[in-house]
Amino acid sequence: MKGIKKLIPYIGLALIILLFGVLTQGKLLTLRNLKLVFNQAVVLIIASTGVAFVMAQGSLDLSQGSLLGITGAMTATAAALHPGLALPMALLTGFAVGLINGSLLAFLKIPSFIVTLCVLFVLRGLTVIATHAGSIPVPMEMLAFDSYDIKVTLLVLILAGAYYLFNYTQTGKGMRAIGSGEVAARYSGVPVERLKVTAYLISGTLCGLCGWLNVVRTGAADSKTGLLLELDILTALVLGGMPLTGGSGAKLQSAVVGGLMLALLGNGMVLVGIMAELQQAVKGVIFLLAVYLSFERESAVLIK
Amino acid sequence: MRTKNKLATALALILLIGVLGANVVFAEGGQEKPYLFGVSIWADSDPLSKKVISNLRYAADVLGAKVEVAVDGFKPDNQVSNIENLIARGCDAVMICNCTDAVVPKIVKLAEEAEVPLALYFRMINDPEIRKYAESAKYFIGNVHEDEIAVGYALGTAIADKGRKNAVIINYNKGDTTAGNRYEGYKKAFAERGVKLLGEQWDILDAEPAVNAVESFIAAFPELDAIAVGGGGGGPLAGTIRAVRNHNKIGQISITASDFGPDIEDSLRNQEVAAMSGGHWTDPFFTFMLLYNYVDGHPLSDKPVTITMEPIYLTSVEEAQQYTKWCMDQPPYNEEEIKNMTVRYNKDFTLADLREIAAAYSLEDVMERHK
Repeated sequence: MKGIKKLIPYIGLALIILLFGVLTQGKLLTLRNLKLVFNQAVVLIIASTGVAFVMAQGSLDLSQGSLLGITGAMTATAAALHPGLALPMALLTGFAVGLINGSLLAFLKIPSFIVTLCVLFVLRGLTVIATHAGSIPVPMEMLAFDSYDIKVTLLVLILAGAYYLFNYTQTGKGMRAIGSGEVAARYSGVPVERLKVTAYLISGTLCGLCGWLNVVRTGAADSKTGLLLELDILTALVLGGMPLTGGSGAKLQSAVVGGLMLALLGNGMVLVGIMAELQQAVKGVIFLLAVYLSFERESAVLIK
Repeated sequence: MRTKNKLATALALILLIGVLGANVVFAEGGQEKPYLFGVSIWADSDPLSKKVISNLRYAADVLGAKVEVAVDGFKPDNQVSNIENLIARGCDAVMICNCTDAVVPKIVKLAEEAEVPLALYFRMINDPEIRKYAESAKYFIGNVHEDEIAVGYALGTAIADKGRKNAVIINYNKGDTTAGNRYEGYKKAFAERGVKLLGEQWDILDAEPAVNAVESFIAAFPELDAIAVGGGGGGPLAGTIRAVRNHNKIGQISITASDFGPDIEDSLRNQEVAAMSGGHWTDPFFTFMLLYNYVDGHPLSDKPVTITMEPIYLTSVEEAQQYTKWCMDQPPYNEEEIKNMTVRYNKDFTLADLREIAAAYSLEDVMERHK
């Protein structure tokens, strides 16, 4: 039964491809459309990859949507001074917010749910202020960075690095050990506080990169940018098979499989012509189904 | 592990077969397909967006075309995704009410790459650099919009004419050209007529946030006697009226609004609203006509076209009744008139004719044509 559970995300992905492949009369699988799906999924996959490190510890990061918003605003503001400042500013903003999130969780012992929810509100407010409740344009030459080559290269590098870190280093193993049991991990010599902060640094920095990618994609940072991204990330990871409780069952590939599923689902529904409001409902039902199928009730503990 | 490998191989095969075979297996037949027009719109449930969509669908139906609608919530990333998706869906042309000038270069670029004509509705491009970029693009067909500064000025003057002295402005996205231009018009009228602007609240696109904002203003400024609603599709106006009614201030606070609300006659009859501008949902209709002629192989111009329209102003119940009868209960342009706006059915039709029809649009014009 456990073996089948592990296969559910892959079966889900295959079903989505088959279903929408047929319903769209093959349009879903044309090369042009697959490039489009990739384009729309890349931010979600990268952000989900970062959050996978957090969720492996059994924690959550609900600040991602607002973090995308504020990094976008900071990116656009820096780009107005010089386009070359945009990417460092985005990464720095993400890193700083990750440091705050991680420190509040690790040293003040505030649960991640509360910390990141509060940070979500703070960052959204700052985004509205930074964008003057509107939008900030970026220099048009920055649109040149919105290329498949750059995105593919970034994604491959990030996934390869993250996969190695997650599976083959003491850092990754330690994070999953925290998810399996924090007390046991501490007694085993895992530097719990340091790894908690590290996970949020990774998630924050990758979200910062996503903020930059988003701005060069749209040409503007907006007060609404990133709204509800955190729920998309959570949905993608759970659809991809990431246990909400983290631990040894956490797999980095959840970010890729889940991100692709969500992007294909969204794209497929648009191609089929399903109403926007109904699309949200469908996503909600699928999320519920994924949690039902994958949730480990017997080992469930409170999200840390 | 073995099962997993098998599954992975099967998935890879499915994907490969799909990618390679999609275009072959599901290749389109030789039948002539109706033109498909993609419309990205901020919402599909407020009075303005509903009317825009139904009017476009009616016009498309008359011409044997189809309209595909995608909701973007006025978010730049959604607008980019919508244009990508509509192009992927196979739309022959796309049109959008862009939320900011800043998003225009990207959507123009998408249209250029896909060689799909693009036009804007309800929006002018304020930024000169972006306007130049858009107008130099081969597939940018043009834009249709109102003189929004004039709209704000007219409604601001209506507030002053009612003898009001202390106003606030409720508006939607800052950075949006239409919202910004209406705001400028209001400010100009207020400055000229001595109306004090007590406060302003932006980013209001729905009824609920409008209720909260107005209630805060009423609490903060007892002297408040006028509220200008900058637009937002009718939802913010409905919320503003509700808040004023909740505080028993109907008649004491004059409300003006761009974009008609759901109950135009009642709002004027109950003196909830002093003046309104709206009925400009014909603006996307003219954008559609530009695109239809282009897609049909008869572009009305070899350069991007800008058409400026006048909205309809309503200040009395009688005007509202006429508007409902002639513009809401029946389309402002009938089947024959729509067909006559295309070169396919009217070989002599030109851009000048389309401009003339758009410029003439008013309540009187519709009544005159359909009586």
